[in-house]
Amino acid sequence: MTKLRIKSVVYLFLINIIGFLSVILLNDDVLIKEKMAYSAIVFFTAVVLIYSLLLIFKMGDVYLYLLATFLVSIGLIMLFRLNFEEFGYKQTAWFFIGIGLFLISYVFMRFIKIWNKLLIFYVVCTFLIFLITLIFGQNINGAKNWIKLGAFSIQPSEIIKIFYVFTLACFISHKHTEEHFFERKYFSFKLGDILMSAYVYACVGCFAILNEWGTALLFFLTYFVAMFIYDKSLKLVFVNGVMSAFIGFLGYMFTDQIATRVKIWINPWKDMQGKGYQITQSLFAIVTGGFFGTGLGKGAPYSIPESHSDFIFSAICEEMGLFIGVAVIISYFIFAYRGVKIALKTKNDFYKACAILLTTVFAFQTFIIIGGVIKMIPLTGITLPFVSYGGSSIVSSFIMLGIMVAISSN
Amino acid sequence: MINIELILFFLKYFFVILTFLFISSVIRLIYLDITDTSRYLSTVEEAYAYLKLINLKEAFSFKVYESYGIGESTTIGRKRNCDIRISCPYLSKMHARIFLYNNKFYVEDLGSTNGTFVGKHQVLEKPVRIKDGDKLSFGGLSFLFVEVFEEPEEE
Repeated sequence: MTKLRIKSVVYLFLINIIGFLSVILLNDDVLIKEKMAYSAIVFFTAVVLIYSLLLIFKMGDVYLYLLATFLVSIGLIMLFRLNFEEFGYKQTAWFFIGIGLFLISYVFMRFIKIWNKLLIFYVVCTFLIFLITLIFGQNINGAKNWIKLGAFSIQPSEIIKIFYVFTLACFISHKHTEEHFFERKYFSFKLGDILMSAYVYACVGCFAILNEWGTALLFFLTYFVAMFIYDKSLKLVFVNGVMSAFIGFLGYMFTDQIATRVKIWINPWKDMQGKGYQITQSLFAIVTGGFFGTGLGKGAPYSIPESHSDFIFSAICEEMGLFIGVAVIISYFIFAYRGVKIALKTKNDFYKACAILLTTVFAFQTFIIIGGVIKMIPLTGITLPFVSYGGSSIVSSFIMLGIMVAISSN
Repeated sequence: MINIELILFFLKYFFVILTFLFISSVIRLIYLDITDTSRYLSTVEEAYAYLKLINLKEAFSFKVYESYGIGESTTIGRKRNCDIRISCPYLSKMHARIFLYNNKFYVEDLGSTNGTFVGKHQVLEKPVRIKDGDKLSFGGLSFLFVEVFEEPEEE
């Protein structure tokens, strides 16, 4: 057992060595080469240190951490190759902040036990962040979803995600206490359920105003799963299904956003140089790669817009090959499997709900972006957790990971 | 320059192979995780190792668990006072014994009819040393032997 635990880290080490070595060999500039080597060494040292910490103190589930670091490594190798100065170096720094917050959120979640009583705090926080975004938000790439803070840009939706999960978990775990005012019935629905739906629809509406459809879809799907698991009569699932179909239809009829996306999805080749450019370039890239890829540095990932963040999966498929793409998807599968397993083993209702919802968020986020990139579902911009470039994305992913590991140790 | 090209060409394939080795090792780790298997029978108080069933459980008509803990000395057989008691018709009453000696595990045959095998080799008079990952067979039942040096955590 111990042998096997070390073995998987050794494999990870070799993957890192080969990946970063090829990127370093590609570069001509000696200064950048040195900088790359240092970043890679420091990155892997941090990975091993935290891993041994997890093992020695038996801090909980190590598999989630192993898979997450594998995904970060693949992402980092790709970002080093794309543009070291602009993306790779910064992403390494963000990884450190993320790992710090991973430990902090682990400690908070494990040793402070008041998280299921802060429902109002979460709701207030959620809408406060929405308000700040609406007032101070910057418009980047057609979506008003960035807050500029000095040199940093923060994506508020990534932070809201955590509050959202906690709020839903609070609502769900409150359900089981008798004689609570949430248990009162109006129109044959419990008040708790009605309030939860109101909260979810308010969140989705705010994202619609901010023009961020990917996250809106993610939130709604997460809510749907929560309903499906916890509502025994499935009445709410049915009502929400009808409601969402109705809203989607209205959106399709009256806003450009959804209609164009669906049109592009059905036939991107009609407007190849215009609106369908991103998706067609992404498809070309995936096809060019083949099973083993063109090799690092031999493809043309710059032709895909946003190849460092939303479209990083196509860039990976092009240069590292379809096999690595499949490996990335498999690791997300195992990740989701472990998440469900943790949720099943946990006894506390609040933690159970947290674990299953966080897993759902990870799984659907991956599904939405990878599905969009390979033209399986209409494309909506959202980051690939752990892999995409972006400070807020990686930090929030690591916070969520910390929460899951803490839950698994209880 | 040709040299670097060639190196990069080979590294590409190594990268793919290593990635899948990594993933398979993680899957194997999850599969072998003893805290995970709810169908674990604690035969002894402190398990230093355990046997994990390789055969499909559904293939047998008698009761058999997914994994069995192994202590300092563990006997396997059909008899009631065996530590691991499986009512498999091909198992003898006292089939085999796994014991710890000088921090190493050995298996010895207790005069069984159908024999005890480590991998493909039959265990004869002398006890045979077994290591982590060895395949043990007792009359149609195959187990994977897994060592745990730390105590298994309780659920």
